[in-house]
Order: sequence, then C-alpha cells, then structure tokens
Amino acid sequence: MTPPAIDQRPAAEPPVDSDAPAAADVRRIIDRHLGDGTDGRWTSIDRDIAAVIADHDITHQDFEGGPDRLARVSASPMVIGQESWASIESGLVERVGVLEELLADLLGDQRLVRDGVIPGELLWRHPNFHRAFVGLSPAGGYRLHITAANLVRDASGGWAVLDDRTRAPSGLGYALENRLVTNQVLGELSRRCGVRRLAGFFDTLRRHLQTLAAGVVDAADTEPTIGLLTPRSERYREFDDHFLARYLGLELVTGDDLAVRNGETFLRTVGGLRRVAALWRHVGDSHCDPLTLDPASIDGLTGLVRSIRRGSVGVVNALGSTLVQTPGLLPYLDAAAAVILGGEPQLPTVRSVWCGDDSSKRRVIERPDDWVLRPAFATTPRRQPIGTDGLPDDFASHPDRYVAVRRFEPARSDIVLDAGRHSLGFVLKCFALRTDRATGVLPGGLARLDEDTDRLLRHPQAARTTQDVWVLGGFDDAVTLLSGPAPPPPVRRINDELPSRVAEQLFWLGRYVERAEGTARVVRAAIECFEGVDDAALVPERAATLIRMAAAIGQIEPAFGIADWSGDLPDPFAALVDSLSDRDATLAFSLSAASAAARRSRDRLSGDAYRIIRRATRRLAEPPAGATPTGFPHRASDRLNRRIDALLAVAGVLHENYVRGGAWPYLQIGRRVERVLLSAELLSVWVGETPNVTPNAGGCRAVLEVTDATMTYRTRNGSTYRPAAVWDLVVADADNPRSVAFADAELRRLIGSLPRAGGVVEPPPLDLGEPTGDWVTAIHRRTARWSDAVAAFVDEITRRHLTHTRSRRLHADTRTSSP
Amino acid sequence: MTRYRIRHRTEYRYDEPVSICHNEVRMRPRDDLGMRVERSELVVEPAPDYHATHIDYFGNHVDDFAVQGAHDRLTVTVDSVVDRRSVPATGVDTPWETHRRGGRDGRRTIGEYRSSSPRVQWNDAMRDYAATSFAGGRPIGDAVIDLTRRINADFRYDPTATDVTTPILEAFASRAGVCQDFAHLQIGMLRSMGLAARYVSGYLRTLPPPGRPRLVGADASHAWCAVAAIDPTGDDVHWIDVDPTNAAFCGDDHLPIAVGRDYDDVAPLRGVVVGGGRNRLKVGVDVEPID
Repeated sequence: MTPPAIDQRPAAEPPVDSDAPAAADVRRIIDRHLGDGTDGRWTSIDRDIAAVIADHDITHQDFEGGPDRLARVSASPMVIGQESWASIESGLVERVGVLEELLADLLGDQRLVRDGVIPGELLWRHPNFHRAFVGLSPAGGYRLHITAANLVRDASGGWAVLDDRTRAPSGLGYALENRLVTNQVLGELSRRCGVRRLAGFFDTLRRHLQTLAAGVVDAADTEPTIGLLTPRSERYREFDDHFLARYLGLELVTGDDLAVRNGETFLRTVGGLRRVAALWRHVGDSHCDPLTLDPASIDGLTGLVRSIRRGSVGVVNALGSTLVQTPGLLPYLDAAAAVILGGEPQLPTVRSVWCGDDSSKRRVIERPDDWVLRPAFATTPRRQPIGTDGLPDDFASHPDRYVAVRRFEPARSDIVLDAGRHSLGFVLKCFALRTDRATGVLPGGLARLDEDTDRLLRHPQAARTTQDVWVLGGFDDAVTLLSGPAPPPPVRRINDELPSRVAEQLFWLGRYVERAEGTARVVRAAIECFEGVDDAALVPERAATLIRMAAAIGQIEPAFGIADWSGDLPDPFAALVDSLSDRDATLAFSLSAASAAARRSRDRLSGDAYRIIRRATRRLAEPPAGATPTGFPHRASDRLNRRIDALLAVAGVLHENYVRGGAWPYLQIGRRVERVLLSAELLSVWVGETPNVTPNAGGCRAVLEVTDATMTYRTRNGSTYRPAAVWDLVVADADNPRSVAFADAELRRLIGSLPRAGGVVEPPPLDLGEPTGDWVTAIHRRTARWSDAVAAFVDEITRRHLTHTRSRRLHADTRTSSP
Repeated sequence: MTRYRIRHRTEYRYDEPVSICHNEVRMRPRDDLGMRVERSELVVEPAPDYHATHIDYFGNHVDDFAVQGAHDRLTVTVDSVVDRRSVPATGVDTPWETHRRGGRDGRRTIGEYRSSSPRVQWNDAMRDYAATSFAGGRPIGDAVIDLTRRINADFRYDPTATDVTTPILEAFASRAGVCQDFAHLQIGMLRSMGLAARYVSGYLRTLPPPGRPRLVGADASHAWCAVAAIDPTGDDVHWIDVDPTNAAFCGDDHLPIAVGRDYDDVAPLRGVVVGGGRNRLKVGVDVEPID
C-alpha cells in the first residue's frame, strides 16, 4: 500500500477503542482528518485521488458507446454502523433465498403464475425467457451464486431494494478500487476504526468457483480452468471484468476463445484446446449460445447449452437467472416473498406498479409526476422520446413495456470531491455470494451518487460518482465468512495454457511498442537537427537522411522522402513538430494501437506492467503555451525524450516483472519482428536511391543515432564514418542488442520455446553478410528480402498460434413450405 | 388408425468445406399427439462426432449433434414408422368464450399460448378479421373452423410472397403466404380473441384414399395450428387441430411431429456452421401408408 498522501496528525484524534466506534464517531474522525478544505488540502487530495484513478485506469465505459471516462471517487467514505449493517445483511440474505425460489418456480411449475401472484405476461413475453433454460440442472444445485441488489434509503431512514442484479452484477472491481482510494487518502484510519475488510469475500468467491469446477471435471484433472466469460459487444463491463479476472486468477475469455467439442467446453490456447470446467458468465442469458438461444448473438459460444445439459461445464449464474432481475417483477416481489417465506420480507422493495395492469396505468397517466418510469423487461433504459404528457411516447400504445417506481427523494450521502463537500442522493449496491454452505454479503459495496434523483432511480449504473462504503465491526471479524477448507491452490505455469487471443494481443503490443520507440527516435533526431541543441547536428546530409526516414516510416508526408525535398514542400521542422499532434501519423497511431492491445490483454499483465505501458502509450500531450521558466521556448525534442524514456521503461518492466502463462515469447517475437522491419526501412533510406554512391558521413551518423549505436560506434571506430563499419554494427554484430543479427538470434530462440501443438514455425531466413557489389542495389534487394521473409513468418505464426476468430453462420432455415 | 412410414431427408451441399457444424433437429415423432411411435431413427452423414437426444419444454423430441471434421455435404435422414390415431375433439360444442380462461398442460398453465410469441403478434385489423367468426356464444368448434375456412378462402397460397422470416403482420397485409404463414396468422387471430393456440409441425399423407380428392401439397413438411378447448369440469385441455391451408379439421391424414408457440419452437433443423461458403439445400419427404 502506498503511504497516505496527507499529513495524518494522529495526535489530534481521540484514541479509537478496540470496540467498533459508532458510525457517527467515525464520521467525525474522518471529517477531522480531511479538515475543512480551507488550507487547500482538498485540492491536493483531489490530485492524489486522480493520480490513483489514472494509474489504475479506473474507467467507466458509457453504455451508449461514448468515450471512456475516468471514475470520480469521493475522498470520504460512507459509514454504516454494525447494527444497521446486520439488518441490511440479513435482509439481503433472505432476499437472495426468495429470488432463488422464485426463479426455480418460473423455470419450473410456474405455480406463482398459476396462482396469480406474478402476471404470466411478464414471464411468457420476456425476451430472456428461453424455454431451453427449463430443465437444465444448475451447477451446484442452485442458480443464483453471485448477485447484487441496489438499495435506497428513504427520508425515514428505512432501506428498500430499488432493483436486483441476478445475471452477473458489475461493480465489484469498482468497490475494491474505491477502498484503495480512501485508504490512500485516510491512511490507516479504516483499520483503526475497525472497518470490515473486503478481501475475504473475494477469497470465498475464488474458492467457490474452484469448488464448482472441481465438481465438474474428472478427479484426474487437478487444475481445471475457470473462465470469466465477458461480452465482446458490451464495453461497459471491461474495467470490472479485467479487474476480476486478474484479482481472482480466472481466465478472461470471450465466446470466440472457447469451443464446444464432444459436448465439453474448451479454451483455445496456443497449445491447443484446454478443458474449461467452470464459467462465470457475464454475457446476457439469450446471448450465451447462438445454436439454442438467440442466433444473432456474437457474444456466446455455440454448443454451450449442450455442454451445460451434459453437466460438463458449471456455469454461474445459471442461464435464466436474468429473469428475476426483470424490473416488471418489482411490484410483485414482496407478494411473492410473502408466499415463499410465509411472512413479510425484512427488506421491502420500493413501491412500484407494472403499467400492463389497467388500473396502474391509469394511476400513472393521472399523476405522471409521482412516478419514475423504467422499461419493464430490460434492465438498461432505451432512449425513448418523451411525449407532451411527460411520458414516453410509446406509453399509451404499450404501457406494458413500463414499470413505474413511486418517486421519492432518496437519502443523501456526504462526499468530498472537486475540492468541496457535497451532499448527493445515493444508491448502495450490495453484493451477495451463495456457496454450498451459506450466503454471505460483501461488507461494504459500491455507493453511486447523482444529483439527478430521477436518473439515479432509473439507471443507477449511469452514475459516475462513487464512494467507498465502510461497514464497522471489523474487530469482530475473527474468521472469514463462509470459508470452508481451502482446496489446494492451483500451481500451474506451463506455456501451453495461454489463450490464443491473448497471445495475439501481446504480439501486437510488442510490435507497436517497438514501432513507437523507433519512430520517436527518428523524429527526435530529426527535430534536434533544427533545434540547435548540438551544433554538430547541423550537418545537412544528416538532417536530410533523418527527414527521409521520418517520411519512409509514415510520420510525415511521403513527399519528404524524395531525394531532394527542398522544393515546394513546407518547412520540414514545422512538419515534424506538427506530426507529433497528428493522430494518423505513425507515432500516435502506434501508441494508440499499443494502448488498445494492452487494454485487451490487461488480465495477463501485472499491475505495474499495465500502468507503465498505459503511461508510455498515452497520447503525446500538447506542449504548454509560452516559454519555460528560464525563458527558452519549449523544445519538441523534450517531449520525445520523456516519451522514449517511458517506452524504454516498458521494455524494462516487461523483461523483469511480467508475465503470466507463457505470454512472453509472443510479445518478444512481436518486438523482434518489428525491429527487423524497421531496420530494413531505415537502412534502405540510408543508402539512398542513386546507384554506386556510397552513403556519406551524415547519413551514417543518422542511422547510428536512430539505432542507438552512436556511442558504441565511436568507441570502436572513432569519428571516421565508414559504411562497412556501420553495417557491421547495425546489422551483423550479434552482440549489439539493437542489431538485426541480435533480433535474428532472439527470434530463433523464442520460436524454439513456443508450444509444439500449433506445429513448428520456421524462423524467417535473414541474410546478414556484408553486401557485395554496388551497395545501394545490394541493400535495397537485401532489405526487401528481409521484409518478405518476415511477412511470411508473421502469416505463418498467426495461422498456427494466434488466429482464433472464425466466421460462423446459421444453417439456412428449412422452411415449412408445403401448402 | 393408420400406419405410416415417414422418410424425411435433408441435404446441405457446401461450396467450401465446413470445418464444424452443430445442429438441433426436431424431426422425430413423439409418443403422444395421437401418434404411437413404432420405430424411428435418425441417420447423419458424415457420422456425427457427438449425438445426444433430449425432450424439450414442449415435449418435442430433439436430436442434438455435431460433425467436427471437415465436410462439404451434410445429410440428415429420419425414418419412422408410426400409428396415427387422431383423437376426436371434445368440448367443441361449448361457447368459445368459456375457453378464454384456465387450462393446464402438465403442471403449467397454458397461459403462454394466449400471449404473443416471437413470431406471433396481432393488431386491431387481425382481431377485427377474426371477430367476424366469433359471434357471442358460438360453439368453439364452429367458430374456429369458420375462421379456418375464411383464411383459406381469403389468403392466396404463394411461396414467392413470403420467406421464412416474413413477419405475420406483413403476410396479413398482403393476404398471401404458405402454410407456415397461415398457421401463424390463425394462431395470432385466435390469441387476439383470448384463446390459447399453438403451432404444429408435421406431415400430410401423400396418397389420397380411393374416392377422395387429393389434398393439395405433400412430400414436404407441413404446419397447422391447434386451439385449446378447456374441460369445464377440470383444467384439462383438448387441443383441436385445424389446417388453414386445407380448410379442414385435422384427422388421420395429418401427422404431427412437434408443437410450440410458433415456428421458432419447432424449427425442424437449426444449425450453426463454420466455413462452407454458399450452400444448397435439398429436402425430400415421403409419407406412405403401410399395412
């Protein structure tokens, strides 16, 4: 844990008893700790929090596909006392039991429908009620394993459930990250106040999934693979799912990473198919299997229902679980609970009505301001135009599509954010886990806040402002809830398990990082020619070569690549500087592609590695306006210096601190391949286009500089620039880690370490001997052959190890066309 | 009672090899719906690497199989011998309104057959069209067969008017379609009157008995619909099968295979293939009475 960023002034605080102090006391302690903001401390707290959020890349993805936004987290947590929490907890445990029974009934005899407790229309017309769900035996004997409920408090202080999340609740990752943020700001306060820890819940979750997996596979397989099935098409889950996969040690997979063979589920890895025993699926029920369920889905796995039917994979939550989070059911849940429990539930549901019922519809039309409308079947609101009566414009024709929640003012919570103290309405998302032993609730949760009460009630997920939740009573936490005896931890670190998708992303990460670094070196060297940092840099041939290189690798206009660029072209210096802000230029493009590849393989990267890569691959910041403090203009080369340092740090961290499961060779192969291609391009520019004209000293210096070989060259050869000596160092010398020979040797070594299951791939043949005859012609020919050989090699390795996405389609329907 | 041999062969030929295919087939007869299955077998070529069977939510027999090696042709042949003994409909004389409530199929209510389903919706025009046949107090059998005959008379049989994905509101507007559309249309109309109706897929016997006119169409899959008559003394359901394509109550000539809310629940073959390029589909059905 990083040390607290602010002065703790421990002497100013009253001692904290070993008994859990009352919530009010804890709030006072926190307030005192944070001060009143007059000393500018809140500004610095905001800065610290923003740094944590940026470093951990805690982003929210817009439901409607907008750009990612960084999270906003309050410096101060919400505090809930031990007794209040105990009643919330027991209400939630009871509710999970009710929902389980309700679901079993809806997917079974439908007695609650027959007896009129639940309107049948809500079930029968539900887009997620696939009849194929009925009769599937759920893993572990029950359907709801990991669930959540959004709780609200009304003015009288009573808690009620706004809605349930029974498919695959998102937000666990945010909850953990929020705790990290408050610990950063408040130091050890949470421990000293006896705040209950969150880790136990996750330990139990990990063990629970392992237990399920162990119940599915043969005893012979002691290390079953557990996947977290994440949707390809819904980006809003991305942060959470990558976080959970990494934190829990699960394989993060999309449907394309999996395959069903012989009725069993497998992961496609670089070493072949690997059996998957359990899946925590975050994909919508209908989208899990295009064969049996929605044929249009791209998120699922063909044959998954078959595998479930055979009991060869444990899927949680069970298919069909989405049914009981249907907002349309909310008005009937308390009645269903009364039937199931034989009495009132401890935790009521917010007041609501389903508008498919005539009298309810009339009530809503009469007083629309009393209600907040939500879609009855979908859990995320569609954008429906609002008519003049203040109701959605399809309300009159299809009232059954809506459920109306009685409008109320939710209780507020105090937060410290944006250097100020605010009080906003909140929804508290609580998470529950049912194991074969008991149901436990995460002591805490995710508080979401919004000044727009309606939006909060309609769609709490959309609120970007969140707050940690402290539950007191942690001094009594002798043992972790729920834990049974721990199954033996999986110890498996063989190379073959790497999913092909991850290998592919890492290969491209390696290539783009390398390309970004190489490009940055060329541009920096070129810019320095003009900045006058180094008088010796002002050799026209050197500048000319570097500019042609920048053009050849796509950083500036190709026209700069012609032998004499001085004609009508704009000032090359300006073009180079401007290119740093050009999103389509090679540098920015490579950075953004590397960043995307890192994001998609985040579950395989250590936290440090991910942070360093994200820093190094951010967009280049625009230079600050005006002059530096010392009066000199900002130099463009400084921006590149810092960036090259950051990219070098990537190489370092990847080398030292990486790596899970055999991913390393693919990333390194990507880098080496790109190094060869880049060298081919640069050498070809170096020798120019005119036959029999030997490269001059300026050109030699340029090529040495962009390959970071200047110092070595001088040590060996002094200041005489001979093309043969340059060739030797930059190409043939296998001891120079930036030479083509070094890359060649590395490629051979790396290929040898790849799993054999994909078939043996031959390294690209690279002729590295000194060119003979006319250098210009020989080098052009030589570098072209390298490029071809590397391209063929890339195709081959892609085909054998990396490709995982295959097009699939539906069998043409056999229409019933007899008259 | 009549014995039949039913042979149904489906063949896909692909321009490019298929590397794997997964299929669900609903073509084998059930031991109810007025049928007794003497024998029934399903043969897939190339031989499937995985094949299992189960009974679905609606009681239909499902063959679930995968061919995991490369192939450029897939044939599925079902060969069955059944005894057909259609059950005389009961409850057809009671007023149609009495059948708008209740009804139980196994332990579940039949309410879902009164609700819209993925391929069956209705609008006011469809309801108005249906209402003509449903005068107050009319016996359900009369009302339903009247609607069946009107659909047959008013709608043109035209395989080019619709395809397998045409929504029924469109088929209603164009007054044309094939048996699948007519079945969906009548189901929608029956449901719009508050009655429970379901889709039935199956076959029609090929050869006419002596002295009777040959029924239109044969040698292909067929589809019709059934309406639920609720036993007033209990909650039991008698399904009355009617065929809007042939304007008749169904009898021993109709061989039901699968039932559901609409076509989606009973599609004879659903499959997902990887690779294959373009494909050509050939279907052959042979229904033959045997002694």
